[in-house]
Amino acid sequence: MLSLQGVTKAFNGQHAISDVSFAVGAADIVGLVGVSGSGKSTIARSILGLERPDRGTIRWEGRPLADRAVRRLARREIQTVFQDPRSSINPRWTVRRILSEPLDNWYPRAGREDRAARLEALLRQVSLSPDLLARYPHELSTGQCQRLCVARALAPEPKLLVLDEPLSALDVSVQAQILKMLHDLHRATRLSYLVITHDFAVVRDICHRVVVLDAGRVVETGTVDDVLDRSTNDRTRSLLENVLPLPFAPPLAGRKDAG
Amino acid sequence: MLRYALKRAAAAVAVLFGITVVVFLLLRLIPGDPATAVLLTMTNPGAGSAEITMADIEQLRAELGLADPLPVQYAAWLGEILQGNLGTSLRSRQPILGELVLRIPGTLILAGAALVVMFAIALPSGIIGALYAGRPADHATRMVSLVGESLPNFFLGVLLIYLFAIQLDWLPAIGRQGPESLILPALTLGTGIAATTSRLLRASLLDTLSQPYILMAEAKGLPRGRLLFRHALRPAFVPVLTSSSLVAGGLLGGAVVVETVFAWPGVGRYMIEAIGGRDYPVIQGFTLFMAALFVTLNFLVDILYRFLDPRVRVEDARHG
Amino acid sequence: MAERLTRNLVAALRRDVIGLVLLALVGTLLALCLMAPWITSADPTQTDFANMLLPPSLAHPLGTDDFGRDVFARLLYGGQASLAIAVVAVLVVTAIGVTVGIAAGYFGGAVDIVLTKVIDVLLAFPRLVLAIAVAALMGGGMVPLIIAVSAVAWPPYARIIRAFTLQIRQEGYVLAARTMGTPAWKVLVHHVALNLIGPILVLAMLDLGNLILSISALSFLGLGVAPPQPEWGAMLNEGRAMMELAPWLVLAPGAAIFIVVLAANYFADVVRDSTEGRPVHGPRDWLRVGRRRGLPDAAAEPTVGTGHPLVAFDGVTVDVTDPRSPYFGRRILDGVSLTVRRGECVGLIGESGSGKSTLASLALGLTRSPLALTAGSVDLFGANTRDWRWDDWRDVRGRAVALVNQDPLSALNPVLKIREQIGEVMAVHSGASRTVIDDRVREVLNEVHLPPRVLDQYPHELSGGMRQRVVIAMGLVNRPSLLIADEPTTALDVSTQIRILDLLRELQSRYGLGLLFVSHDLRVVAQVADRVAILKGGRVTDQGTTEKIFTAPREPYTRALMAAIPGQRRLQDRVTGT
Repeated sequence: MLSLQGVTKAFNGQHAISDVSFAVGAADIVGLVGVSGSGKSTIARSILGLERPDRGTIRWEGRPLADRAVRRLARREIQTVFQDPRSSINPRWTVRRILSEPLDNWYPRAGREDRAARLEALLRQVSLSPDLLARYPHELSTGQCQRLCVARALAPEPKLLVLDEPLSALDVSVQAQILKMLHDLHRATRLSYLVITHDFAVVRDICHRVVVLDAGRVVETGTVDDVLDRSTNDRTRSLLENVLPLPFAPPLAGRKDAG
Repeated sequence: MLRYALKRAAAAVAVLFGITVVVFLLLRLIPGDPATAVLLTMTNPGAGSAEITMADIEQLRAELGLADPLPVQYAAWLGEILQGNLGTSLRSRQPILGELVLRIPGTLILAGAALVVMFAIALPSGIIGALYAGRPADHATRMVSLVGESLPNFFLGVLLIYLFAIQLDWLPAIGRQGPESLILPALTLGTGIAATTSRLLRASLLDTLSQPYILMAEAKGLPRGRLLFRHALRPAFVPVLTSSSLVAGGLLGGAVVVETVFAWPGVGRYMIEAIGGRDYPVIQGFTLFMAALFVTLNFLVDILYRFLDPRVRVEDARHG
Repeated sequence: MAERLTRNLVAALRRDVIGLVLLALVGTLLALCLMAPWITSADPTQTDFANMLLPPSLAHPLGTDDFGRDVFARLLYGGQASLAIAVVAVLVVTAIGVTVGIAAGYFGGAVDIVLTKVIDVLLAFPRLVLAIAVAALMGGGMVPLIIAVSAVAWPPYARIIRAFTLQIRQEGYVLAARTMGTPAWKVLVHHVALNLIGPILVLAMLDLGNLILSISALSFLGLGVAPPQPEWGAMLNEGRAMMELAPWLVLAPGAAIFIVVLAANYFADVVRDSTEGRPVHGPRDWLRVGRRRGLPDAAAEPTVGTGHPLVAFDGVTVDVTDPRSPYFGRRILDGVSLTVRRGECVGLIGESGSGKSTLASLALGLTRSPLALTAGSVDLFGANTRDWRWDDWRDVRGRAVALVNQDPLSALNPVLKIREQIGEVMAVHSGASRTVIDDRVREVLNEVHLPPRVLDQYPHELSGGMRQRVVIAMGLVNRPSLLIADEPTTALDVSTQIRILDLLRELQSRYGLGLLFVSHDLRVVAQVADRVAILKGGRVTDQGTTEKIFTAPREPYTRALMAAIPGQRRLQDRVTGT
């Protein structure tokens, strides 16, 4: 569906990303993992059309994103959920208006009843109550805000969801709920995800395949099991070891995390 | 550091260049033909325009440099400025720069004294306001600065003259006769700007006191004096200093008004006299002179600010 | 923001006697000026040399001037002129400032560069000097006055509006709207322009007083309305010469200007206060000098093993007690009991908002307004701290109990060198000589594995991990018996975390240091804690040895927390791989 071929982008003569290639298929969940400054967000911005790569091509459904018509299509079919749910919604708008913005953009001729049904369906997909429609963002918890952002991203009926550090602004227990919600959503819709994160734990929890990024280059690509458990790449290994070990094994934990 | 100073100096020069353009264009604001306007006021006030000959007008136009196209006029004018020639007064026929230099010490003495008054008021009231935030002492100092800020300085000056010179006869009302004649003008000029500084210091000190490093300093068991003077006051001064151009602007602008009220011999009074006599070159020269002084002051403060806040020093090293 | 602003304003006014008085005064003055023809029958420009310089009387409420004109009438008609000029000037200034500011901020590029340069140059003039020059060259009068005042007043507006526009452009929701396919004009109107209304109103309000002062100063200098038409600033100038004989000539217009400007500035203050987002709270009680008599020996000699816990929280309850706080009445801690003994590390786990940092600050008496301890007690080294004053606390802080704070950059004073920041903790508590202090500072730096060169550096010159170690060194320099570590490793990368946790463990075993380790990160707590307490919504919901809590959690919340540690579970149905 989405493919990157040798994408390179420099800022002030310094390469933010160089020669990045990978692909996201239908119903695929790909993790893009690397420490901060490794070029993750530049890749995300390029995919969203906010940056223009210096070299290389990004293709959507096989056609280059540099093409205007393709970009218009992709603007609808690729949707994003940003890192900080609070700042990515207008604090002065109600939930109804926030959710209506993409509907206005993409379904300007929808009838009133259609729209009401659509709003409720969107909220249900992310397990939020329709009672929240009249609320303002500051009346929601951070977890609810993040659900709202996901619902807003689902409104144009996209084929790919770019999740940019979707958990890092959330508390641990809320993180687990959002992960579960994303997982259930994927099972129900077979929507593709590109999960951008610095946290291998998140990759292990939800992704099928993983792309490891270091200093703007792809160092390894493969299935989660191959890369996280059996990687022979030195960079990957040192990034992986960059997690505090857990001296005790919590009861629900997988065995390999203990010790 | 030197590198930074050079960079700032270059920026200041660029701004000065922009200033000359604005000041040059100012003369175009004179309604109608400047030469005619000047001649009308300079000759007998009762005379009509009929008595001014075209030859007179042409001669003055040439003298004011109004005959050539704009860019040529500007280039010629800038050339003169760069040689230190601000032009000649139409009334006294003296070089303007000389007249300004003769009078600037008066203005600087007044501004310096006003600065002392400002600090004497603003430091204690700003600190008290922050330490007793939300309590009666804070409200009292805030009310006092509010009054100081809202009293027009020409009104305050007139009131002070009425009270201390006319009614009580303690101090001279106008002019510059001795050190005591400085008191009233300095008080008048100083109180107005004290309010701004006091408010800035209060807000900045309050903000500093709520910073984690002050909580940390408290957790270290430091005594009150050290907490306030060593840990809080210095960082709190940084934002006060960055807005010092407000103070400098208030001083220079206010000096014009205060010098008029107290008939204090300085550049401001010279300017007001020139306005009365439609001495356009003097108005122009004075504006340029004051702007240059202002830019220089801001440049110096900017350099001083680097010394106070080590964080910025390093940023320069990185970006410079 | 607009609704909140109005709400706060109304609430503030209701309690504000001075504000109401000023409002009434200005309102009356305005009404009088607007209705001048009905209030007084006198003609403001009619000279009457038979009645020169009359003192105030029934016929002439404010007397007459040196031309025999009625001062009261002149004041009212003059007010019309002054206030009309001010209103027009505010509108002109706001319009220019907003247009230029939004254009520069939103379009960027060459437009921005040119406009910013123009603003820079105009701001490089002393404001009043340029206004005087413009008005003087244009020859005085009402329109030149407005032009002169506006020409110098708009650049600061434009600069602020530009900054706001830039900031809003960077907001997450503007970015989100753009990636969502919202057209640019819609983004500009819906998200940018509407969000600017609040700041613009505040700005106009804040500058109103200044503007009126500039206008009246120019009139005073004879650059305003042409005589004999009345205007406040000009009236003051005319009356100056007659002041000895007729002070009312000066007092009436002066007082009028003063009242209007005072009211404008006063309400600007109120507006400023109600837009200040974050309530600011400094140290508590530190202005109350004096100490409680008879500080127990336990606090003076804290390391002696008396059998008392180092710190014991007993049924501690903390509430938001300041009625001005938006969270007034909220309970932060609810009957928390916890002890830390010598050589023991107690981990305190809680999510954000659970009250864990509040508990940590209680151990040093550092709770700041709007919070206050409302029930329970905190015992330090066996002594009840309830009646301790600031000086009693000061005595133990940094000496017997030390704090390591969350954010290593903001915990260090940016303008002081490391040498001073570590050394002063020892200097103020021991009064030791300079060389002794310097030796100990070097020693403690060595303990936290920092090179001596950091002594002469400023905090921002160090990396995050180094700063955190400086904070720890600051805490350890006096060999305290209790260390309160509030999220000490949160801002650091993993390898630095491991080194700092190792260091804390080492000090704990070597010196018998007691450690209260507060964190939201279960992995970190598992590394260092002997015992763990779980805090949720201000209550301790679970407590036990670390191993028990992690391997056999019984409380449902504890189980949920353990299950939520990332990397423990697999949610995905694998389509590829094993």
